[in-house]
Amino acid sequence: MADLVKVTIDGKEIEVEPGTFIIEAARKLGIEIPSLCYDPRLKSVGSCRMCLVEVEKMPRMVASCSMPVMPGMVIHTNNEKVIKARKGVLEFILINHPLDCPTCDKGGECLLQNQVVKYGSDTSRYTEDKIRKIDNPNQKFDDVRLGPEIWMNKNRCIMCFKCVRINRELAGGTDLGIFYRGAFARVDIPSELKYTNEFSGNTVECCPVGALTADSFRYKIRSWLLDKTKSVAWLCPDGSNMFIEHNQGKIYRHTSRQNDNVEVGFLCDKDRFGFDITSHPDRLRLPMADDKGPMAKISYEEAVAIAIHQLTDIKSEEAALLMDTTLTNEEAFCASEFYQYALPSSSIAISSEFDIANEIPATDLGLSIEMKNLEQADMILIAGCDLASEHPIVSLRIKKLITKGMPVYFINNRDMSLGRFDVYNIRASYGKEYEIIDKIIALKSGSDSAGLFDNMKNQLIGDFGRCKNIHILTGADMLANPNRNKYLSSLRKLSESLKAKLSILTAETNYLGVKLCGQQNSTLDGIIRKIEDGKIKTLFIAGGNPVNVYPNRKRITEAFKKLNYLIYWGAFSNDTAKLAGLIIPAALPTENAGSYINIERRLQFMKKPYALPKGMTTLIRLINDMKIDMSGKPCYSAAEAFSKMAEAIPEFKNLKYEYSEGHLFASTDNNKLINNDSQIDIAPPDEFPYTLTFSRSVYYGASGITSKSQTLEKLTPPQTLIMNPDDAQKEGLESGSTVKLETNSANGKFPLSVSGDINAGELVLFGYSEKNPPNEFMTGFNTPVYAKVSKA
Amino acid sequence: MSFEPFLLPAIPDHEKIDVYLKHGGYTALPKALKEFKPEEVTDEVIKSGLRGRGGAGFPAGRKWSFIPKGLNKPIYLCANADESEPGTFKDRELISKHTHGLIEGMIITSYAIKCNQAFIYIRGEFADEARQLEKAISEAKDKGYLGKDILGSGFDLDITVYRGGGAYICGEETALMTSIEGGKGYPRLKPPFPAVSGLYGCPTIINNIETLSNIPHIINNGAEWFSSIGTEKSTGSKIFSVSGHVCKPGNYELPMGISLRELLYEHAGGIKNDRNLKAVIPGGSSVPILTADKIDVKMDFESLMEAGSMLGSAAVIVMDETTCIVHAAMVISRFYRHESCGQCTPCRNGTMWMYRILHRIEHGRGKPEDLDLLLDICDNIEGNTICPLGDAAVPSVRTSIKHFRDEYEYHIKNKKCLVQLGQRFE
Repeated sequence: MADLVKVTIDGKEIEVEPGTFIIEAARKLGIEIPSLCYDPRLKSVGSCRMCLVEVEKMPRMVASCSMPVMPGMVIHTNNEKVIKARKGVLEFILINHPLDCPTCDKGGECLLQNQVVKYGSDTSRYTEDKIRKIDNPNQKFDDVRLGPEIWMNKNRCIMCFKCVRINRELAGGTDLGIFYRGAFARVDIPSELKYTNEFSGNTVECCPVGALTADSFRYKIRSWLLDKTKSVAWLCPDGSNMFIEHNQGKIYRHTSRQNDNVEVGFLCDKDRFGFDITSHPDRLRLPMADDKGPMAKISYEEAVAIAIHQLTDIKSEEAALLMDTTLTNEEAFCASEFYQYALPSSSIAISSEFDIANEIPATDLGLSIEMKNLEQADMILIAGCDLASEHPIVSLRIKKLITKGMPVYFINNRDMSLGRFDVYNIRASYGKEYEIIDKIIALKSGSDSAGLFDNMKNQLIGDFGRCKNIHILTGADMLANPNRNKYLSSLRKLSESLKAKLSILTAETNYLGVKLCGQQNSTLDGIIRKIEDGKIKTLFIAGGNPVNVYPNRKRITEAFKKLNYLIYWGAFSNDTAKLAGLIIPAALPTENAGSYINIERRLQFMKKPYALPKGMTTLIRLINDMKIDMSGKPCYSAAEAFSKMAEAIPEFKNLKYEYSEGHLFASTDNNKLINNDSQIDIAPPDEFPYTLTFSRSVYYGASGITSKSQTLEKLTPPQTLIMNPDDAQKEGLESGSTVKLETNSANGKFPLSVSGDINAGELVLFGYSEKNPPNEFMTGFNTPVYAKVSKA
Repeated sequence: MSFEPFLLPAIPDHEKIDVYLKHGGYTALPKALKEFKPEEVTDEVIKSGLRGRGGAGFPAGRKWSFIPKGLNKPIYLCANADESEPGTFKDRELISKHTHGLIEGMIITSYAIKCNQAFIYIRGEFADEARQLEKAISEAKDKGYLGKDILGSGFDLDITVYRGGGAYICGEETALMTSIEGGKGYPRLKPPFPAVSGLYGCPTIINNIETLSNIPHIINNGAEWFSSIGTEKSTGSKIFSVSGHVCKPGNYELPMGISLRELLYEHAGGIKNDRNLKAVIPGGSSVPILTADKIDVKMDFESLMEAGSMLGSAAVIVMDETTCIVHAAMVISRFYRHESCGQCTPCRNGTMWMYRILHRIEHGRGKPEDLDLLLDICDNIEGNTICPLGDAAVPSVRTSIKHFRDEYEYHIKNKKCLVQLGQRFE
């Protein structure tokens, strides 16, 4: 470590690491230097000049947000000269800033407002007309829409460049930028584009003034009327920390709660704008049952009575429990504990998109190191994982690596990208990814591997020789691959030969937690098979939408129809609820207290923001109410459940509710090779000449519940079928036209997009919609789908 | 001793390679490559005392020596031909009449700083000059002065002409680099300085066209010869671009330290129509205005500094007694308002505000407190910005109020010009 640098700030001496900016050094001394454009997480631009300080022996004032400390600097942050400059800068900022604080959404939490109160003058010397930055002379209002969700008021903008930097450094976009020059400069996007990306919401939160506002929040409520409750993002497994901001039982927005170990204060749009799922009109509000004919509204007490009746009159092996991956650890524990106690030989499983419960232990899943330590890696290989849409927060760390010049390789059946960031793509054909991995292993051991791109070969050899800290990430595309076992064992061999660490990332919210805390003894596939065989007759579905999750929609629907009784505890009336005999409205995770385990195995707690409306219930309460009548120890709260977990589950030993915030569960990469090298050949029949694969947008999460968010629906790109240009030419299909996609079991119409990013002979069905759920086309876990395309 | 111009020699068709070769062109290059080590070229330039001709006057050789040793990165040279300072028109003439002199200077400079890729960042409006440069580069390539293994020395160099969009800010060295990289011309924060981390994150030297054109002459004639011209601290010759109310406006290459009176009355033919001199801006629009009583000031870096102004790019703007100084200040501040890049607050809003106040005063809507307000705005801009553009916008306004306050006050009080002849400075 380099020697510390000693500087004097306002007469106080401090030693800081070289390269620290003056503003940070001052902060360490408790001296606050005002700034509008400085954000330690972004590259400094020094544009607002509020943070000017005087450094002795320097001819000009320096911007403390961008000037690193140098030995012996004597810095004054509060002398007359500095205060004059600060006041001057503030005056300059205000001359074109409209005086619309009373109607501005940022009022009350505005950085500029705060600084004007502190340093500003109460009168203005500026008597000229303010410049009104409008796009066309007929424009009536100052606010314009940059994209479906983001609004811009160019007059309020103070040119701090935060949004431009967020767009560039987080999302890798180049669309948002500064147009025009001087006093007429404004933030805008090219008129033919719409501003959307997976991190666009951060521009609104980081905007120091009310220039950028979110469509879902603007003019809804004043910020000081909102209560903040700490919570954790529940639509992706990265576990971003956030605040729920709510008033009188309604959530108005999610804001970041900076945790430097996880998301560093940047939420992805899915987590930020998915807040309105709770207030969607389709939400179930009262229990319903069909025991007296058609579905009718009943009271909660009646619902509990029916549930108890249904679960007591059966043999225990005829009962089953399906747990959704958005359940908290406590809920999963309570539900499965109750089932094991009351119905000892029942089947319990997680309703997961991936059939991995038996093959891969929970401790093998997730990141093999802490998320922040990914930044120390010098090479990343990402195989079978669409990182940008599955794990946007993990991808932020990878993007930082790329900015530092580290190589990042993607191995998949299509080209992957991380925005504008440079990545290398190694293309494999679907189902044969393991062959490419084996070739890379051969390359590492020195033998020539034909089939790899020649330019990639030398580069890979060079990178292997140079890099000491290599990480291999793999994800959903690998887990759903027909030859998954071969793929995974190849990846394990690769990680051994590279001395790299392998991380298997699931794409489901709390899969790790539910797997660890829920005492499952079966799999989703197993339960479906038992229902088909008539062995399971009563099923309790705890949350989620298994019909959407299981990769064969027809089969699971038929199976559920065969059941004697289906109890559904869930938040929305969806395709699963339609098959149920008893529906009990559920609290969503954001309305609940409990804990989640995120992708890096970090334990994080959420608080309950408000009292639930009558009729809705948490799973813990429902189980408890059933327990009281069906014998068994009651458990009233998540905290109580957690203390029971601490006794029952070895991993939770000595952990305490809320006190153990941030606990990291150990990872045991036992490198167990699955000795099941059976192999499925991808051989499309003549009738269906294409292999159909699936990919999802970044806005999809938690078994499709994201389609219940009006905001996310606006952002979600339309479902498209992507086809290789050669194939499209062969079939005579044009990009943009609507095509008919057929498999031997289903068909649907989709707009076609032609792209060289995918292989010939393969199709990618991108996106999800409730009308055309992709699992209609699927035929089961890890089985290839063959399809044909024709003009619609 | 009579001075013979060497940058703008009176030789017809000097821009053509045959003429240039006939008159001693491309003799410094083989000399430098054979007789000098790269460091010795730098030493020779340091010894000559050559100072940057772009405006700041930083010793050129010392700038070259700031490149960190032992960095495993390419080094770049950028010739700054983004001549945009109002009143300055020397580089354009240098490029069009002394094209190969510039290229030879660039090759020698590149050799000195071990650069294999040089750029000429040329203002977008100089379309003919850009074409001429490209032609000259291909001629030099044909003769073996550019390309691989130049004159058998093992030294490679390629020169790329990069046309800008005509923004004043891109003449600022860091904005110039951003522009070459394809970005919007925004200046960068210093540190890191360009010599350490410049173009594409690599060490970069940016020199003015006139600076680079001097290099072959220093190599050919020696540092002593060069430092014998001009004054002790401001060596060599300087091209003065004289404009405004003189009989013979134009570029005059003269030794440093020549008096303003000699420049105006002997070379530029005196003030038009035999009027009286009112004020002179001696170094382009971004330097303080000198009043007529400073007519005997010596035109070099130190003497002008002493007189309260700067040599800048040596663009001498002459204003006679018919000039309305308020209007002149307004026109200058309009330029800076227009050219401010908009990145940092003081320059973005300050230049706009200054122009609006001056515009108001000029059009008879001034208020007595405006003058102090203007001076305060000047204080708030100066020294508080990222790049020197903000600092450049201030001196003309500040000194015009300092020297001609009565004229401003007359304007505010009587809503018209004190100067009745009404000839305008445009």
